[in-house]
Amino acid sequence: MTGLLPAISQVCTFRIGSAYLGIEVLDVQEVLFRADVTWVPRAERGIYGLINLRGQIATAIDIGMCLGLSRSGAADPVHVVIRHGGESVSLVVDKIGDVLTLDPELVDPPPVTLDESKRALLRGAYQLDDDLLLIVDIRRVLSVRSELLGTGCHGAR
Amino acid sequence: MSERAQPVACDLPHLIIVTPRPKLLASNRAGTGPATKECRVDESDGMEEIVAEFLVESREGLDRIEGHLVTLEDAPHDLHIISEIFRVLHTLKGTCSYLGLPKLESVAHRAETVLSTIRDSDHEMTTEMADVLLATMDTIRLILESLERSGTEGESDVGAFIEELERVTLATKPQRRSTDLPPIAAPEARGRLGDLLVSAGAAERSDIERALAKQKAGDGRTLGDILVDEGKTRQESVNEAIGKQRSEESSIRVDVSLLDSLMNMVGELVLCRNQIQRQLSDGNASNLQAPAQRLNSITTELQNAVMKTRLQPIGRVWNKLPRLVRDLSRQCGKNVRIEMHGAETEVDRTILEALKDPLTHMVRNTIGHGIETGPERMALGKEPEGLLRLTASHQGGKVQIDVSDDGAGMDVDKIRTTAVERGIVTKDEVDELTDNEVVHLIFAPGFSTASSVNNLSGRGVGMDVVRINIERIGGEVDITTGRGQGTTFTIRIPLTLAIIPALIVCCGPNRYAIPQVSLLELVHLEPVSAENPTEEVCGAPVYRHRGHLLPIVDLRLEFGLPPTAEGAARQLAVLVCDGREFGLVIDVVESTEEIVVKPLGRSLKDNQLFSGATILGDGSVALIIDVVGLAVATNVVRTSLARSESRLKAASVDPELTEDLTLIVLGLGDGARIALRLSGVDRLEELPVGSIEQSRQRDVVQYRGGVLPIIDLGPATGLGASALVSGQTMSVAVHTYEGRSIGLAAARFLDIVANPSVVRATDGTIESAIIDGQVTDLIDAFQIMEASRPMLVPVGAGLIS
Repeated sequence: MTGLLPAISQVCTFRIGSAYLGIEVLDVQEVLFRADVTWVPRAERGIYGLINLRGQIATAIDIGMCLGLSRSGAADPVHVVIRHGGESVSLVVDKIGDVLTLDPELVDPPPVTLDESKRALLRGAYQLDDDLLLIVDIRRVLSVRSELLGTGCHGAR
Repeated sequence: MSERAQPVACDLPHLIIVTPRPKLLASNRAGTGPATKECRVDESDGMEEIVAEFLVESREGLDRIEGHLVTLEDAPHDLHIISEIFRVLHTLKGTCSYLGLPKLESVAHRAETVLSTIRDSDHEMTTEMADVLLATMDTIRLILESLERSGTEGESDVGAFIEELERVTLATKPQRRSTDLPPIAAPEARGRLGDLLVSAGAAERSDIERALAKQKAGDGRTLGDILVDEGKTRQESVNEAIGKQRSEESSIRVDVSLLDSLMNMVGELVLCRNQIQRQLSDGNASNLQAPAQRLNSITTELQNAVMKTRLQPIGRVWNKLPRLVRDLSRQCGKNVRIEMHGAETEVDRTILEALKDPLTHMVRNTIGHGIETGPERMALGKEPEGLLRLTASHQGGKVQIDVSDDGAGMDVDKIRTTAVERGIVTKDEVDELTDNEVVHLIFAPGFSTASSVNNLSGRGVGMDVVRINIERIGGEVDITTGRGQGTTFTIRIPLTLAIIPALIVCCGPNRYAIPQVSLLELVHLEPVSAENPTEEVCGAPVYRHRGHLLPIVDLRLEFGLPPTAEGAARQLAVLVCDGREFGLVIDVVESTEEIVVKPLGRSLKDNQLFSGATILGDGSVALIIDVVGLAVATNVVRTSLARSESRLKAASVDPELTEDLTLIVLGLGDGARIALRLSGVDRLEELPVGSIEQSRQRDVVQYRGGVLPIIDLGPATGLGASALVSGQTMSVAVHTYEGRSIGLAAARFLDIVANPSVVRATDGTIESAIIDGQVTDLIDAFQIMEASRPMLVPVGAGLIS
């Protein structure tokens, strides 16, 4: 099963609802545990809000919504900040997990039980002792976010 | 092989030049000769600066070439490096031509030729060649030195040197000159975009060649477009390559002394901060006054100084125009001279970037269409040489740039016809527009054949793109033209975009910033109550303000927030957009501040309501409201074309224009009376009140096969009771608004009076008339219909007529 991940990879893991997800750790710029989020009226679906990242304004994306997962609705979500398209973007998740080192030989393709559109967003799956870790192709998810969710707006009148 | 695609002096890292290829070189076929002297700008100060820059950049370029030449000896066929050297040489050659340095130009030219034999064939760089080329660089250095010392190219004879270069050029390859007149369209350099694509593996060399051949044969598309159209590469690859080109140009030149003072100020800032920290940790909060004041003044100084580093004189963009003017004039067979005044006017760098393309386009238009040929001009009694004048100045917090010519002016009739042909207006509509309004039609999208919003300097573009690009930086552009006299474009742009004064307001849980430039007034609103109900005109909330009816936007509603509690006082911000005023209802006004504008992320760029965001003193994020976007989204303001229509209507009922003032007098409920101008009334109808139906929360009647919205004049003007008493009839004065019929309803029709005595307001408008010994208010029907526009013209739907 080589080829799904380039080499021995480290993934930063997190939880959204009951799902256990991971992204390439090199993509992650930082993790914020508490951030004041400013809501954006009439924003496209999937836009969680704006946060102040040391003087820069970063957009927070509801990554769960993009992937069709429901968040646990915890009051204090965690922000996983990555660089995408030359700017900082934060992914809103429920809990942050450990950084795991994965053996690329043991990475499986995404489970066929998921439908095609979801599988296209994943880079692979990794069986852990009592959990299935889904490795997300985060760049792809962000690039096609507006297609995934349609461009309908929040908070219509 | 002609290396035709280099913009002049493109090595200057902080300038992007959109000019045609150096057509000048075509005239210098022999490579020598003083023919280029005429192209000098007659401003010796500008010349010195240009030469100084040229020297600096050429030397930098030479250093680079030498480095490359050495590398090339080890990798003799590295096209990448060869192209790099080519690029530098070509730039050098072009500038030499412009500055009138024939010796230097011919040396550079010959060196180019040597390189091209390597590049275009399988021949490799031999040591001999490398020697000669390096010697060439030395020769060039000598000439540059001489130029620096004495302003001339020096006495050394380069003839022998050139012969040596020629000898080294392989005999099998015929010498190629840039004899072809390249198409003016695309600014991309062959040696750059093509190379970038090939080196990125996004395109084949052969495809590039073929695309270039097409360009040469007259295809006006850009290299990138041709490749994408033919499926030879992806648009993303082209964009990436262009991005790489551009990223080389994102640096800036700053005066070292300015940087020194910046460093000093930052030092002071650090000291001040330390002071404050110490006071705080000592628990001495009361002593913070002094350091805080100090902090304030240092920050202001620092801010000003940094802003200054971003300011560049507009001459930087202009300096490239004389060349463009010369080339274009030649090409169009006209004789045009350019005059530039106010080149030292300083403008923020980002704005300068955004101005380049629009200015270039305007100049192209002017020379291409505006200015007549020599003989034509003489026949008209004008000087055979046309004049293009550029003026820049600071006017009231903005920079004003005038681009004017003394050419033929715009052909209004031709614009009329074209606009109808292109479907922008109908024949009837265009007949009713004034000449000035017709001229503004050239800004309408679709007016010119090929307009593409993102590619201003690529395919032929229309003035609509020019205007959008100017409005994008917060500016505006206007035209005045006179038949046979010439045209003037007036561009007004803000000084800087980065820091703006704004009003911080609250609405719901968040705070928002409203740019002060759009803010006219703040009004405190009394809580809505029985005695003070929200006024509505035709279902749309309005506010009576200084005698006008303002359409209102409630920010809470717009944002989808629940309404405020009954009895809560709110504030009204009177905003202006495109000349129209409207009111924005907000919860609380907090403060005014100078805020730093931060762009929104890519995912929010398309958002209509917000133009950016800022971070407030307490670290929270405030979105900056895009006043234009808000007005358009809530439909309180129309686009300028429709506006000009109604301006016309308004003008046609201007009291100054009509000599005859005929009024129709109507009775409102409970005995009150009002007057309307008869000239605005299309028809007068008596309709049963029972025929009123509800459609989209408006009162309408079925009328003449269509639906007629009804505005109840009593409540709308606040002067009388409602006319809509059931079981009775109402008098409806049918007016036309934006091409649709609207009915203004009163209780009864009373009289028609010609030329009564009138009472005027201080600004001359007629307020009321004395009819039958009674003062009767004159109602501006147009204003009433304007105020109820959001209801009359529902967003997204056409008005049902």
